[in-house]
Amino acid sequence: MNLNDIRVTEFHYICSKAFNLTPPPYVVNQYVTASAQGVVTDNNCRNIDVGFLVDNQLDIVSVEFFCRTFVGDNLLTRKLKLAVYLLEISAQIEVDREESAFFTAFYELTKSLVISILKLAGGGLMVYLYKRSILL
Amino acid sequence: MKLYDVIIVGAGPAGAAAALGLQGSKVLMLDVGHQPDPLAKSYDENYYKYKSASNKGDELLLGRNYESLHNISQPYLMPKLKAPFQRYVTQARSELGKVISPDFNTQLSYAKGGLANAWGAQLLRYDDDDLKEFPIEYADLEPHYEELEQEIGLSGANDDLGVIYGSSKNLQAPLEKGKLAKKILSRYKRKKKSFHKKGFRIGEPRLGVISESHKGRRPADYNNLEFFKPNVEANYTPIFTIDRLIAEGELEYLCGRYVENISDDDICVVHARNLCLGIDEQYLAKKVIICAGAVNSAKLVLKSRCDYETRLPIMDNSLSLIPFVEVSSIGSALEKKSYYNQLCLAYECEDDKQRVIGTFYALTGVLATDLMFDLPVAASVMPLIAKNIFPAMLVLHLWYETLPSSQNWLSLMADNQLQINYKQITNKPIEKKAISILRGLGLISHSKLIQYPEAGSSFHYAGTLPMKKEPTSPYQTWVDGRLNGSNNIFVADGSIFPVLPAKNLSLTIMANALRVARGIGAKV
Repeated sequence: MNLNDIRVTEFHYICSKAFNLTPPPYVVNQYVTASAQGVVTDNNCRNIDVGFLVDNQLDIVSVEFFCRTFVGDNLLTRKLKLAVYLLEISAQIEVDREESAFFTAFYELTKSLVISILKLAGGGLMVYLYKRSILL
Repeated sequence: MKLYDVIIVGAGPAGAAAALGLQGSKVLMLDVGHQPDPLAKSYDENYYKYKSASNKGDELLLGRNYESLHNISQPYLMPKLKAPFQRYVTQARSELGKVISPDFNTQLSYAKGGLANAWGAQLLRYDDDDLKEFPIEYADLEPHYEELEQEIGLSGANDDLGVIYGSSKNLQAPLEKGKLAKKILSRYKRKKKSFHKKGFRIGEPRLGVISESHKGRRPADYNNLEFFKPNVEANYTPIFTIDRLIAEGELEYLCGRYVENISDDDICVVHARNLCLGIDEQYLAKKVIICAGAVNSAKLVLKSRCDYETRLPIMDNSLSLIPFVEVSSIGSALEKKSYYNQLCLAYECEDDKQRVIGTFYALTGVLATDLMFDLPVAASVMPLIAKNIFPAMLVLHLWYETLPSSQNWLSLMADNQLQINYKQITNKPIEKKAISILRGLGLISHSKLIQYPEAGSSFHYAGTLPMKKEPTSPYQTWVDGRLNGSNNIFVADGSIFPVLPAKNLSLTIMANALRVARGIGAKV
């Protein structure tokens, strides 16, 4: 696989794992081109083996959240950020509420917080197993 | 060779105001003068329309070269400077504006209109309290404030903040606010007295953004494109004044000229590089006014004197950002027709004996991804959180008074690059007090959420060539703006500030430039 094919696989994997969606081809193309132009680099940040996560179908969202919380700026967060920017600009993910909905909002926020806590714990477990070489 | 009465170096707020004060004289303005891509003008619908339509807004929101994604791996640029059509504001060839600084975020502008192309347009008068370290008084600036407010077109109100901002006869109605800001303001009005006791005042922002037609400019259209579209007509930039003076034959403007040094004799010789032709040119004038911005003006003066040793002071307002949530607004629909600058505050902190100025910004008109990764949640739920929380959020920017310090300096290196050394000061006790007081208005935050942008991020650079009643150094200026040790070179931008009050400095830079120019105009 050449580098661009790897990026295509990576982006599809991020979109499906994080947002359960299949991006349109032009957005995939934007991800590949932006990556090739050096929008995402590992300069001054912790490098994370994203290929390993994709190849082993691991929960990329959990690992990213754990790393962002406890490691700080890292390559995986940068890749996810690129994906989220492209999905927001291409209106693939909805970030603006059109109608007021107070109770729905509280339900969604509670659900989001519970998911986040579970993801953080899951991410921590995966990083632990990886470090102990159990996942390798 | 043509001899001008005055040459103005730079076309930012100070340059425009100086040109305004020199009508009737033979004036040349030299500027690098980058301009926005004309394609930007074609975007005239609401920001959210571009955002919701698949790839309709890609060029505007993402950029041909993915400019909007700059902050992923590069040093932070504020949203207005990283937007694709706004990149011209700080775009420069590396040889023009290279600054070596590990701890100071220096953004220099070579655009026509300068950094004002990306300003928040808060235009406030200094009062005598702000000017106490200046060798001039409010009365010296007052007529110039008046004239500039009429030139610019100002929206706002003589409300509770009038005590701090000064009352003005030239105000148009305030801009439309969102529901959240209206809620906060009405709560404040009910509890006003207790807030006053704590030194707190909240009111309408005073902005160079018009709510009614003014001098042929259309009023604010609330399209929320301020972060992405350059030169939105309702938002004043110095370009409006410069273009009007050019059209009226009051000003000759040459762009593509980078002024390298100025020799001062009976006649001033301005040496500029023609960036298009790659040749050196000379221009003659009786007087020169340097208005290139505090950093570039200092560089020009040091370079003209071949001084590679002197360290000049530099200041920038310390800035902190505090996100607030108003719980009852969680889950509201996003406001798509209001201006992002919602409310302002002034806090006279008795214990710390300082005045703090703040602005509440709504999160409209920016990409949610710019902020989402600051939330302590998993990426998969970020859109849900953003959708529900952002309409209930206001981000308070707090600016602090800054004094010169021996730790904060700039100097010119032998290769003509600038070096800046800066130590940022934080003010956590004041922020904690502000958070606690604002809880009384239903605004919730926590001191752990406070963000401190890198030093230099206010872009309120000042104080490199301070104005003194009796200058003692060749890098200080006289009250009339004249550079000490020079007969015909004047400085009229933020360089001349001896201290930097918390209030936004832009209108005072312009008022002082107008004052200096009027003095020179009377002589030539």
